[in-house]
Amino acid sequence: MRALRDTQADLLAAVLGRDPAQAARWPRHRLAVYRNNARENFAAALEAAFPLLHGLMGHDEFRAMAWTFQKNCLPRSGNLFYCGAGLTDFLAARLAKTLDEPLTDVARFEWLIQEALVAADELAHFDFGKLAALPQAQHGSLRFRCHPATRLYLSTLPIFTVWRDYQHRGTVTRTPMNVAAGTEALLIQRARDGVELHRLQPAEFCFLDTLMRGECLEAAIDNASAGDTSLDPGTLLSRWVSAGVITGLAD
Amino acid sequence: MTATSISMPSAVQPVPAQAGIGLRTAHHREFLARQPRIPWVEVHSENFFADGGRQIELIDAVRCNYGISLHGVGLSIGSTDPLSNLHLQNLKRLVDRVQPALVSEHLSWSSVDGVFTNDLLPMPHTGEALRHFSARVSQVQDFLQRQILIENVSSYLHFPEDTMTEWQFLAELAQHSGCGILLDVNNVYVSAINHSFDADAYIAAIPVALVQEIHLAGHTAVSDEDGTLLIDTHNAPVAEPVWDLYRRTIARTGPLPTLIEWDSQLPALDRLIAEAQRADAIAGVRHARVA
Repeated sequence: MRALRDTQADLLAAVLGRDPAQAARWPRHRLAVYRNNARENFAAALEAAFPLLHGLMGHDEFRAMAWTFQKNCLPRSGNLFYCGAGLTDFLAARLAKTLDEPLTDVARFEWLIQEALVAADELAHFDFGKLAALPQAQHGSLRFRCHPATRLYLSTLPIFTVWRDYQHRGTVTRTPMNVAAGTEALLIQRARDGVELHRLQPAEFCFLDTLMRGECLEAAIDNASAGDTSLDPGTLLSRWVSAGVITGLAD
Repeated sequence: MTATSISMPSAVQPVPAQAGIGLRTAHHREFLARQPRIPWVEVHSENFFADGGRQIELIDAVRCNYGISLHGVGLSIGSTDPLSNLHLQNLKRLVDRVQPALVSEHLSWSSVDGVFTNDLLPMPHTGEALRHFSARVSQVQDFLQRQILIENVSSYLHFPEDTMTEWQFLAELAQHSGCGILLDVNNVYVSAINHSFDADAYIAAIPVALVQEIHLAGHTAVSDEDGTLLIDTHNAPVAEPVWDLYRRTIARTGPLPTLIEWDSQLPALDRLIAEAQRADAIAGVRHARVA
């Protein structure tokens, strides 16, 4: 009698269509039920995580893409949430130098949203007293903690407008994704019922990006000032503390 | 401090021997707003594995007023791959937080050599598979520090290696591992049609004392080379023959927590609740529902 592992490997190969000899062992219509379930479960999970990409591609093309993605990047988790983790890299390779290449950035944007939606909560509020107690000379070396449910996104796509329109209408029509005149810098922040997007100035993006990478305040100011000499670090810090993005001093 | 907030749970709400509904994303907002008069709900465990955010708020809110059953679909207990530590840890964290009355998974497997098919594949019914599944259930129960229920799945294939029936396998599994049985009456009916066995014989062979929950769901009939094939689609009302089988099951077991599963082409929340009320009527549940 075949070992359990081998029996299961035979059936899985047949379901995934990787072994025609194994597939021939089973009634074709019945094997197709499992194959369809696997494809539909995967595609539906991907559709839920990438609604904007789904709208831009259209249902049929999105489904076809999902199944190709599934076949080429076989799922490695029983938790369907993770099925979208590799989609950006998959599309980057598949769509490079095509007219659809901007869709890769849409996928990256939506996966950042997914990460923000499931990130940890932050219990503490910024302790201004702790900051005030520190000598001013030490402020430059301070590192800050940022809310886990925030992400930064930089793109040449006008994604803010596309996303806002999608939120407003609930649908999106497929139009060519024109590259914006400049880069679009966004902060994605989890909100009560979804996410909020904040448009950032380039220097502001640079400032937050440096802090979120764990570097000190002085480095954030230096990096941001390189593109904007009028930057006011105090105002920036105050804004993002108030917005709940910077939540405390790093330990 | 960055942390997942652990609310201090109020008293654990029981899952009584009445009908509940599967709470799905499309109904979350309405459910919280209306607080419908049903005693318990079942949610898919994996949908609440988040570190924080809206899903965690939701389950915290629901558990205050409703009994909770956590129903897993992704642990792949029957696989010969090692159980996923990450999955187990996420499940344990959720169980500790929610303190559900029931925790369940499937008599199935989904992966080989780390590759998943994201579906519930049937177990071969052999002695080796029974020993393997039983050991894995024990591993899960030890990790969670509580009993789990195992649900029979709908199946469309069976293995030439089978040396026992599914109902023998399930009954022996529960006796060996100490797990409870989640008896999916729709799945029994679907598999009975697909494999030409007697659904009532299946029900009759399951030890009544081990059954702690029942599932009811809709299925879809398609034409097959062999005639009619039933597919467990969860996209329709419970079919009349399944209600009939439920009636005969309840006559044997007495009232049990009974879940209406409806996962795609979701109806209005009231339609789901009406299905639950029908299950209660069949089970003769007359006592007042929770407010």
